[in-house]
Amino acid sequence: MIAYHKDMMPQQTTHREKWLCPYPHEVAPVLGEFQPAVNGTSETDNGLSEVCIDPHCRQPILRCTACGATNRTVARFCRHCGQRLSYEESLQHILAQRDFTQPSRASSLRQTTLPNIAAGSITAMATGWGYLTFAAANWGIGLMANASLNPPRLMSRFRSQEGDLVTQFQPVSHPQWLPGFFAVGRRVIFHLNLAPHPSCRCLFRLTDKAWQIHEAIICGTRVVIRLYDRLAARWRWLSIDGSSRQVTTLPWQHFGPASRAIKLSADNEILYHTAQEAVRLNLDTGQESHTLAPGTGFDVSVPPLRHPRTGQIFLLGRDDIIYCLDPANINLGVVPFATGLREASHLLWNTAGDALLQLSHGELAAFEARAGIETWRLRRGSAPDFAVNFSSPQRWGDHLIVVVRSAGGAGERLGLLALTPPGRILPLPERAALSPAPVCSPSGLIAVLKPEAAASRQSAAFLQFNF
Amino acid sequence: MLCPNCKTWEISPGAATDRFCPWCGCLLYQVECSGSPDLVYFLPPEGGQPAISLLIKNSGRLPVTVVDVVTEPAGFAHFARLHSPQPVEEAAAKSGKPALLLQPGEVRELPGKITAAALQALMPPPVATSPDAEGAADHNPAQFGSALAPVADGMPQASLRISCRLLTSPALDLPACEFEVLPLPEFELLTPTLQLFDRPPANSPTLRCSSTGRIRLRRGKAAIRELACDLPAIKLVPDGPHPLPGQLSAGRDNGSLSFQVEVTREFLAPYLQNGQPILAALKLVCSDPPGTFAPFNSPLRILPHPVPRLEFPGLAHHWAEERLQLKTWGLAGRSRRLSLQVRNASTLPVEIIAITPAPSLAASVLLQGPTMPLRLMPRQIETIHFLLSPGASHTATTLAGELTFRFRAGLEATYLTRLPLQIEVRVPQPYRGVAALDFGTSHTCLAVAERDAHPASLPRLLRVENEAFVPTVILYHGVDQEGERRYDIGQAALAASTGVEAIMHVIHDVKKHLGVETDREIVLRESGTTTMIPAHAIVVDFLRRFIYEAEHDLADQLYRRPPRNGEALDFGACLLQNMLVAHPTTFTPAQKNALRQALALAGVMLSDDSWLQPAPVIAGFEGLTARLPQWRAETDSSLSAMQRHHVLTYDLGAGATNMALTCLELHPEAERTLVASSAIKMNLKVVSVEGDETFGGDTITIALAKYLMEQAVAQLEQRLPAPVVVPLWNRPFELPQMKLEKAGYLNWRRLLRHAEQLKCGLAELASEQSCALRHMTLQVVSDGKMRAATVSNIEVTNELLENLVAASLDMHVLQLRQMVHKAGLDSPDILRLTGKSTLLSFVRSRMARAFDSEHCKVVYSLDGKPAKSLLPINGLKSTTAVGGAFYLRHLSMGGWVPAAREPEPRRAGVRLGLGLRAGQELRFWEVIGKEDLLDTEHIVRAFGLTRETVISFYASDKEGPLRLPEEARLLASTPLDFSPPLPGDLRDQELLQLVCTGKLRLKLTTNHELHVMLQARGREHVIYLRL
Repeated sequence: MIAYHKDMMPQQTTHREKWLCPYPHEVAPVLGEFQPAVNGTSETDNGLSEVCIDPHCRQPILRCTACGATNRTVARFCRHCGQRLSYEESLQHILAQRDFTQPSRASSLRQTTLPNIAAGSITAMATGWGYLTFAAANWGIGLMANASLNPPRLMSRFRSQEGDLVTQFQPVSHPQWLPGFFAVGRRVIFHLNLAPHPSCRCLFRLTDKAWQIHEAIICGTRVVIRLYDRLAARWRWLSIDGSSRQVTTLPWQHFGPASRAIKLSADNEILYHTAQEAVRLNLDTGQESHTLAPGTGFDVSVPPLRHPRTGQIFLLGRDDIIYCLDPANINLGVVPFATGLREASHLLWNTAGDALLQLSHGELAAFEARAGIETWRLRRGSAPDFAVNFSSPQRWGDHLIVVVRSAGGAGERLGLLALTPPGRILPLPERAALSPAPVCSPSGLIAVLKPEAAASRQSAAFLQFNF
Repeated sequence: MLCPNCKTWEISPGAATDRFCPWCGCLLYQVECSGSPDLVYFLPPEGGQPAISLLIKNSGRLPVTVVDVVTEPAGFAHFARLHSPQPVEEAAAKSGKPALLLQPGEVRELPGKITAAALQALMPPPVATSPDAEGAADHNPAQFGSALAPVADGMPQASLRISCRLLTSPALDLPACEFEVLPLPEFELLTPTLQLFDRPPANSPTLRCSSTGRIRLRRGKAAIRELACDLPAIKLVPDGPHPLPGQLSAGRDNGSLSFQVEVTREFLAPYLQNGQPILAALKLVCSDPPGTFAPFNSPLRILPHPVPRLEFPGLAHHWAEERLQLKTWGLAGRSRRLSLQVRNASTLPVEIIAITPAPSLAASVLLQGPTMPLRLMPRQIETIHFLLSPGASHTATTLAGELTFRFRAGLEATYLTRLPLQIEVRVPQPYRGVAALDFGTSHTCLAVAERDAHPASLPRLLRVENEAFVPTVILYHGVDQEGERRYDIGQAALAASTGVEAIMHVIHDVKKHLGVETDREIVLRESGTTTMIPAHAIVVDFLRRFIYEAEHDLADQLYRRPPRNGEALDFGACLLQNMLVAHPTTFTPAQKNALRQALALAGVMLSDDSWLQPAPVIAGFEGLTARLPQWRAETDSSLSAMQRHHVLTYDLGAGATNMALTCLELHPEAERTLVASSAIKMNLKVVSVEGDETFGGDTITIALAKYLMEQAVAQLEQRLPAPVVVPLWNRPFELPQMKLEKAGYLNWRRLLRHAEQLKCGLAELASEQSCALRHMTLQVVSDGKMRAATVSNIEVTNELLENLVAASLDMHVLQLRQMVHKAGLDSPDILRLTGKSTLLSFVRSRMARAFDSEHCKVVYSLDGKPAKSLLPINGLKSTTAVGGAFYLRHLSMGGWVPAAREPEPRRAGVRLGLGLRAGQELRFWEVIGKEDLLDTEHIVRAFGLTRETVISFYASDKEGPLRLPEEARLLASTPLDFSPPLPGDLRDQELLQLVCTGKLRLKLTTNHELHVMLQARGREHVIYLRL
């Protein structure tokens, strides 16, 4: 007999490697070819809720679509066969095919109590790559696997200094950045990194009380941060190198209200608009390009919207007309695209990218992406009244998480609005808190229990809706 | 460790769980391994260990350590240690083998070799090696069997596949490199010898061998490009069922290829002359593996053969100037067998496919045997039999044509040989010479002589199937639907009846059927069934065939005889006439009549009773003629008185003993020489004849057989478990039916045969010597089971035999003396002993003492010398037949003085007719011949006879053609009235059956009465007709 070293896999067991848990282990468990639904996930999530069976690991698993090998959810290539993978694209693809109106036998509502976190202290939460991250005041940032909510198992907790209040999470999904989240607060930006193992570091911290962080945009290897000076009502830009965290001051400053900025197709260009003009900034050269707004000006509360494929920029004017702008030839000016709704609050694309959706206070209209012809509209009278009061609306596939207001104005509750005709609304239980906004998981939504509905003031809880 | 490409992802070190970087997708661990060469040849058995190598390339981004190479089957390949520049990894150090560290992009070659174990598994040695051979302990033989290519049992392995798989650190699932190990191809000439025939038409400059050469690949694989030969005059053409293949494999399709060989005539010529084989060294030019290979049993032997031919050795003396020709004769209307000897004069076996006569001969020449195709080995001689049956023609003609022999030598070459054939055809004419027939109990012979003074015309025996003494046996083959019987006589019948069952078919006692009126049950040889044949018909059948064949031999003698001056003796004149027939002295007139009637039915008409003579009488004449010159010398030639010489003949024949005292009267004017016998005047007078039909040569044989039987039973009772029964069956005219009876018949025949042999052996020995029976197998019943038992070493002496027959001999001597005394003599001048049993020494000595030896001369044979042996009796001359021929010749040449005898019967022909009238139909035919009607019985055979049939007879003294209306009137006037009357219930069918079985007979008495006798139901009904 030939003696094998422990490094050498015997011939027959070489393929075991692809079934091993991809995360570091003392002894990696072998995951089967198919993992049954665990912890409340349904079999309809196509395996995106799979976690390692090791109770000390419980990390989310992404299966290769070609060879079935286990991968980390943040992997972009299969570690065994090299197949291209993307957890988020797979998730969106699955969610786009889901319809909550179709009854599912796995439909459930589950409440998970998080110990040691005070009720109402959760200020922001987000999901991505199978993880759920949330920030709680005076507690820090927690990281859990989506499918490991019940029983709750905190994967990581990053304690923060007092006053480092995180108001929102921005997912980091840039080719040059490892997946993770930016936890953005008023004065601090944390970078929560998911690979190679969860880590969190402070990316930027403001010391001047007059300034506050408005937004952070990843442009290549750097992060562009827009700061707002409350005293002077002006905007300044900083550039932070992703690896060295070296801060560079960018040359521009603007006064007055302005919309949120978006990154253009090139990594070194961003665009925002004020009421009078749309501005394109080049981060490398420092040049600015301007195009004037139409006579009534732009609505600065609605951020510009970029078509994911053509790169066209859509802006909403104060005259409720949607304008179109070619970012490559910004000097040509804007052209009217369609006549939108009154007092519109949001512009967004449907998942197929062929319809521009405009959301206003109680109305939803869809426009054909090329010609701007309105294809259908959801009016106030035909559905329960709804409103959108989030700064950036969360979507669950082709559904939008909205706040539904009851007819009598008695109260508000969360609801799920279908962005396809006829635009039905599914009201969610009233126990779910309106803020922070619920996040989507492969099987449904995760929301925070209202503090007043919690059994104890000492412990916050998650509500998990499975459709 | 970060991914070397993206510098982003952290790779867990040591394990190859991440072959690809999950972040950038680059290939982290990849090793490409290829074996070189993938086909490994080696030269068995001492071809060393062929080298192989593994080419390993690290095409990944991270270093990989090659720890080991695992071969499947294990131990079939060995890779030596490598001096790796890199430090040996810890894991490899633990395993005791150096490791090979491959940096990204690095290519290394790992040399190795196929081990002796693999070669031994591929080519197992012929002698089983001991299991504790070196290196064999590590290798499980069962492992080898599964990896070897599936081949037929008992065949060497065609190839061996060895797969080598790299063991790396980190462990990678790498595909295995496969080596196919083959022995260098070895070829075998399946046809080491080819035959090449010369052909007469030389228009082609090359000759091709008759068969296809074949080469087999014994082991390995080969892609053959070309076939070559060291002799430029020999061209090898791939052809046949297995042409030149692209790839030849030993295990598949038997790995054979076929080719044809063409040789130029110019090159072949000297080989054809000296007969030496051409040795051609074959070469197979192969492209894979490249090289030239020769079959291990090369060279190829090509045997040149000249044009094969057939020879006819029997025709040597017919060699004409230009061509060989077969000249023969034929008789119109008669068929005969013609034998032709064919010899294979070539150096190879030939096969005669067909022998076809020319169209002019097709109706006359029919091939009888052997069946075609006939295979002849070189120098082998085979006799081919034809049946010549020239059609009936009334004039002498000559048929001419050719016999075409088609024969084959080798495989496909067919040759022709033509033999001219000329048949002279004559119409059979009566023979103008004389003949004498000795129809004996055991053998029959016939002598002829011409009536002239030529020495070649002296009496001589005719031969049937080259045998002058034809055994008097007959064997029936079958009966046709027309009632014609097919049978054989003589040696042919004996030869066809060898075997246990076949001995039943032979009828040994033909002569005893003379005068028997009942039917004989015989067994047909072809069908094995029994049928009934009238007893006399058996005699007639034998005599007819015998005379027929004897006439053919006479015609052949006449045909071959050199022509004489002034004589126009044609071979067509062969129909025997004037035949003297010898009969035993004990024959009654009825038996003589039966003999004469049988001869008449066989086609020989005896015009006179004088043609039937007692055997000892005419046998004595032979001795007389031999003594003539001596007698003339003893007496004074001037004396005019007539001389008398008395000859006493003692004929100890097979069936009976005959004695005759004759007196020869020599007239004074007789000349001295017998050859010029026309001048001799002498007369033969029969003084007296005696006979003893109870004692003959067969009596001695039977007595000896019974003695053998007693001795055999005594021997068998000692050896076999009791009770021992030796069945015997010796009843004449009755066939054995049961199995035991058949065994008894077989035993009896064997006893007789061995007794006959012993008797012959004793006849050659002196009286005091003994003869022993060597072996004899008998069917015996022992302990209730039939089995074959062999007895041996039974001694027989002359003394024993003499004791068996002494009483009979004394009686004969007494009879001889009485005959002499009755004639008023003291002793005869000559005592002549004939018959083969007289060769026994005690018989001779007893006869020599019978008379006074001074006055009586004892003569044993024609020239006075004893014969060499009794069997075969060709050496013994038949004194009876030859003497008869002398007698007749002398008589017909005018040397006979007719004695005053009783008046001869009326020469005028008497015709006896029998008519049958049934209804309106009137049929009649001539029943009996022209003469000698009186006192003989004739069997009437009728057809269509019913109860109402009126049978009428007429007799006429006219000769010449019949006038039917006139004789019909005579017929109608004669009523038929039997006395006593026929039974009233005698049915027509029964009446017809009676007539068909010969129960209706006619007899013409001397007082001119015709008796019509019908034997029905045990009574004789007679009609007395006065003519």
